[in-house]
Amino acid sequence: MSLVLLLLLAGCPDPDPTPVDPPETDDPEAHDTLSRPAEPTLDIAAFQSASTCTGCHPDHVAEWRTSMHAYAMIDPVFRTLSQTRVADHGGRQAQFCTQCHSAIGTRGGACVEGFEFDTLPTIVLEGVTCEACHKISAIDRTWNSGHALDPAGPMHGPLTDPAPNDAHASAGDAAFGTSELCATCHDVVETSGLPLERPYEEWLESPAGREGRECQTCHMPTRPAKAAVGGPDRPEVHEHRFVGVDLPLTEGFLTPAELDDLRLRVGDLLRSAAALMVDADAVATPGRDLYVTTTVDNLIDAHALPTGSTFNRQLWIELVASDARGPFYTTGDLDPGGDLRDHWSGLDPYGDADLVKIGSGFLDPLGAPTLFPWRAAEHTTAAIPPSHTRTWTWFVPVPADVVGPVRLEARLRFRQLPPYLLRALGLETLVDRLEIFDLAAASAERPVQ
Amino acid sequence: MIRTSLWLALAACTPKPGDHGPIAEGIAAPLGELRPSATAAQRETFERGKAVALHRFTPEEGLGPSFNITFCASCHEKPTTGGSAGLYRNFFLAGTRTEDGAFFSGENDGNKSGVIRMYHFGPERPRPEVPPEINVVAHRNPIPFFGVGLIAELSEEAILENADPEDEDGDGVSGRPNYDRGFVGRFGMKSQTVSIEGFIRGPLFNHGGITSDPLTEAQRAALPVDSSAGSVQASLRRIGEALLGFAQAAAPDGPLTDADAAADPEMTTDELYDLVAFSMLLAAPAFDARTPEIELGAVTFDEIGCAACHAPRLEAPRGLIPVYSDLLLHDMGSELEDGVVMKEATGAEFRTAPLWGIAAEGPYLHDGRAPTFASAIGWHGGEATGARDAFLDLPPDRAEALLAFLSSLGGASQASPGLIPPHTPIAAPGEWGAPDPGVDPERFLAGRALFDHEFSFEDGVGAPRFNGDSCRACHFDPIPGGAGPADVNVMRHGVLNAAGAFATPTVGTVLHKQTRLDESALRPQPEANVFEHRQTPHLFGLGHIASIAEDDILRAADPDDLDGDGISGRPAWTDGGRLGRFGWKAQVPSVEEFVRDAVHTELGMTLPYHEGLTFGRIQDNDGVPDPEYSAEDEALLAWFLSNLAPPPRGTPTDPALAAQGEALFVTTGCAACHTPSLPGAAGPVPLYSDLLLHAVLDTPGVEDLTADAWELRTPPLWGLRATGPWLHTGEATTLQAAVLGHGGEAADARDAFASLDSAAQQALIAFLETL
Repeated sequence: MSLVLLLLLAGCPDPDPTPVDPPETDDPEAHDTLSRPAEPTLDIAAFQSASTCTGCHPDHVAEWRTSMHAYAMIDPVFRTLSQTRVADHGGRQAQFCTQCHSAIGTRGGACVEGFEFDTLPTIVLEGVTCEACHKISAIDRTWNSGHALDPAGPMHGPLTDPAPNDAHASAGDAAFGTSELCATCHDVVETSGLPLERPYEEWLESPAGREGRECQTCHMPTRPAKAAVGGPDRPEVHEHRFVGVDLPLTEGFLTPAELDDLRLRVGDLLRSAAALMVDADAVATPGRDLYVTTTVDNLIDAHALPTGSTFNRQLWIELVASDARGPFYTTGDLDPGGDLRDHWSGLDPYGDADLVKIGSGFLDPLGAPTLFPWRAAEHTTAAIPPSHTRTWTWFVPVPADVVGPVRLEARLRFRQLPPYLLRALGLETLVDRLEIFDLAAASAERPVQ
Repeated sequence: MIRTSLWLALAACTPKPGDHGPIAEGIAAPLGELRPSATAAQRETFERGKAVALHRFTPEEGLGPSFNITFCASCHEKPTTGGSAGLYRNFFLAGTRTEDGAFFSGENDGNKSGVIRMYHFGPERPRPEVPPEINVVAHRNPIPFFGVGLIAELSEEAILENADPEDEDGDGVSGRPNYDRGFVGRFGMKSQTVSIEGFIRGPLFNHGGITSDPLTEAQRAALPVDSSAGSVQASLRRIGEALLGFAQAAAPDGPLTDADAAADPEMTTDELYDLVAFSMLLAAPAFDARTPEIELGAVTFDEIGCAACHAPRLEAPRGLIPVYSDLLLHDMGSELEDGVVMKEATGAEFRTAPLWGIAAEGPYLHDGRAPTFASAIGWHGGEATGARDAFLDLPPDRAEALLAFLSSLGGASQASPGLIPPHTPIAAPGEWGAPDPGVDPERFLAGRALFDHEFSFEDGVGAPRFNGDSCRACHFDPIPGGAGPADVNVMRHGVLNAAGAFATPTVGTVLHKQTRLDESALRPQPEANVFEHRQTPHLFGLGHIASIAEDDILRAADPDDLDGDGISGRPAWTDGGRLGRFGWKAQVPSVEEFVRDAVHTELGMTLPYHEGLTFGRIQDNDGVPDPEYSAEDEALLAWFLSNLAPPPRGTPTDPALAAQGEALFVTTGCAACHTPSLPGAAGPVPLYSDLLLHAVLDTPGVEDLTADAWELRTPPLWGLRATGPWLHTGEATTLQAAVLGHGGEAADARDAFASLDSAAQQALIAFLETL
């Protein structure tokens, strides 16, 4: 190690630089040299706020301001999860969550043991701000904030012929058109090695990955525009809304109009993700089970359904069977507290014996469910891989005195976070802001014989 | 550059001459055989003892009340009786480390050895409680017994000679003895035991709940290795021809008792004597002939430092014995450290594993994590770091020579990827495990080998939990493809919610027995309140069952008992409206889905996606790339099972009696569900089942798809005679008990059987024994 450094210092040419192993840290669970350094590796003051960028890139910044990237360090759910993690580790591991949510703050010494969110510098509270991406100078690994940041370097972007300007030096960087760039944060592995979020891994094995369609293709659609005020017209300028499945839960983060707009975009995205079919025996027989199948197609050919922090997401099937008098069988409905009636329901645990959830969960070392990844030994997932289909069969008991016909209504439903998690984090007040989106619905009717 | 120079420096070491030279005469033979020098009387003892090792204990004989195994050879089977076993026989060894560093073996269901027993008969408590104070849990893979009598004969001096606890010779390798009540330990992963008697009585009780009394002094004196008190007091004593006597202290040294219904001791001291003598008489593994490559490997073995711990020869009373172990404790580093303290041995210290016979004894290391020699060497750390690194730096030809040398240390010709011995021919028509007529023999052999193949963690076993590392792990009675004893039962559990509906626990209904190495024994989910054992059914004739037309099954369905015979029979519909045929709850619709279900649920491996197939998993999170089981293997396994011939019908010893029993089978009502035959694609399928669900349980179990908590599929009875124990829990150890264990809508038939006179009952059982 020291030998290698010495050679470099001595000016030896190094045409094929071997990555230098980061120095050993005393506490590899708390620190790594690249993204969770024990000592600051860059100067926060060297980064420009988004408010500076808006002068020349007003559309980009306006879009970004509505995004989860801008909300990354504001989100009270994130903040509380991060604090819970730190509390569980006796004050350590303060940098694990922030390594992606604010790489600048984490590497710049603001997000260290004992930090408080409210007193962080503005640029840190901007989360995944402009320069959090556009100052990426290299990709060292495709997970856990695996990129290098160089605040002194040029502004990186996908344009190969950036217009010279007075504001900053520019560099075209092909990496900005690749999934690897996103993967540096959208692939997360727990310090124990447990895989947490695997969108990039999923993409690698997906039709889109094999065909080279990158994250940006869908998540950063382009339009003809100028990339900067006064710059040349460009055929393709990328949208910076990063629409996903989340709506900010913090009152006032978006205006009501912005929230309405985002809600429409999230709903459109979700509805494009899946198809649902329902089928059943040709006739329903009083006093017998009616065999009902529902099939979910993951229409996304680039990642699983759901993806990302699947352990916090809720995707499930609601099935209601009714006759002329009303519903006689329901699964996938909510308890009075708004939770699915599964293990985590405080009011009706395991009350929904037939519930189908399409997500993931953690089990602790003894096999019991746990909410938090750092307490988990296992991450079990029922997410549907890209372009795959899954079928479930229900055995719906038809009442002996059924008044036909039997009508079956199925919905594929999604919620960004479960109420029980918010309650566990002491964020009950946000429960009412959670919204359920229906990705798809299907129905069938069967005569009674 | 650095690597090359290191290699050159090591090459300069001088091997000790004669290290791998001649050994004592008459001690070595193929694995599992009697020591060639044994007397005729010892041969008889050996055979009797082997029979004890193979004897399946029943609860009536004292098995349990909680247990891991039902017989000695459960865990000592590879490549033959007396050996080791695959990952599926791993067990958990638990303890509590206190804040001040003290270590106590964990108590589990009254057993204080630290061994966690995983089975308990009875619906209220399928898995013994693991006390919450346990904070150290290690995994243990079974240890082979070949040559242990020769190790028992070693003098203490012969072991202590290699000890260098302070590393005074400065070679980085220390080596210190463990002590068992004052005697130098030599058996067990941590050399924690000095006595073979103790090393047999302890595990018999810890794993099987089989109690025993210590051998008498006269018995100990008569053992192949004199273990009497007299020998303890004599530091040097002549036995036969110039044998050094050895002190065989025995632990446990008092009578063992337990709380089950069987009277203690549950194994007689005569049986125990035979078993101990059998172990002592197992030959040392015979080595392969030397080739130039093996010679080079031996030199390499010495040069890179393996021999520093894996001492090639120990001085024994009969002459030099090639244990390839110093039997001493060595710090093996943090990767192998298991936290278990045993007498003098710390959590990171292990006995140098003897290498004789290892070619046939994988997987390797104390927890079976290493499927190959190279993997095992790679896991070495601590004092073995230098030797490991030197191995990793070897040029390929030297590395291959070393592996060839290790492979030559016995057992190579007996090694197989599973348990079926190499070159075992295909079973002839009419035998168990034969193929259907006209089946491609090459493909059948490939399928059988795959069925037997033991997969490793590196292959993706465990997701992260599993029950078996191969298909054969559970399906081996009477031969691979068959049923399994109670010690491979699958545990299921569930939650009956407030409304009485069955809900699947978050972990699923299967409560797996095995986990990946960094996990502890799985407890039931706290909310679980219904438990069920599931016995391993045999797989002979699956293809014939699959060929029965759906209509021919549905024809007998009578869900509302419209014919008023008290027998209903419900078709089991599975995912996608397919008729279920296989499994205790008829929850699996086809052989292909059965393969997928088992590969995922039992092996914990992922499979490729196939349109229309819904069983199995296509991804998991165990770090091994998916799919872990290839499409070719999946197809081969399904083909193999589809072409496995039905079980051969037995010949009745008393044809008239059996014929009378066959008539009674109908008149008592058994045949109402156990339909003697259904039409198949290639003629009648004499399976003795209607493949329908019947409510036959008196206490609710686990729901599975359409099958409710009280229902089971009528299990086919073909093959019955050799595929016990019976009933879905495996609780019936006799056919009589199996008949009497019926309930629900089979209660009338059961009562009809019970009301028969004993001669008629015997006739019916005689008929069943022909199946």
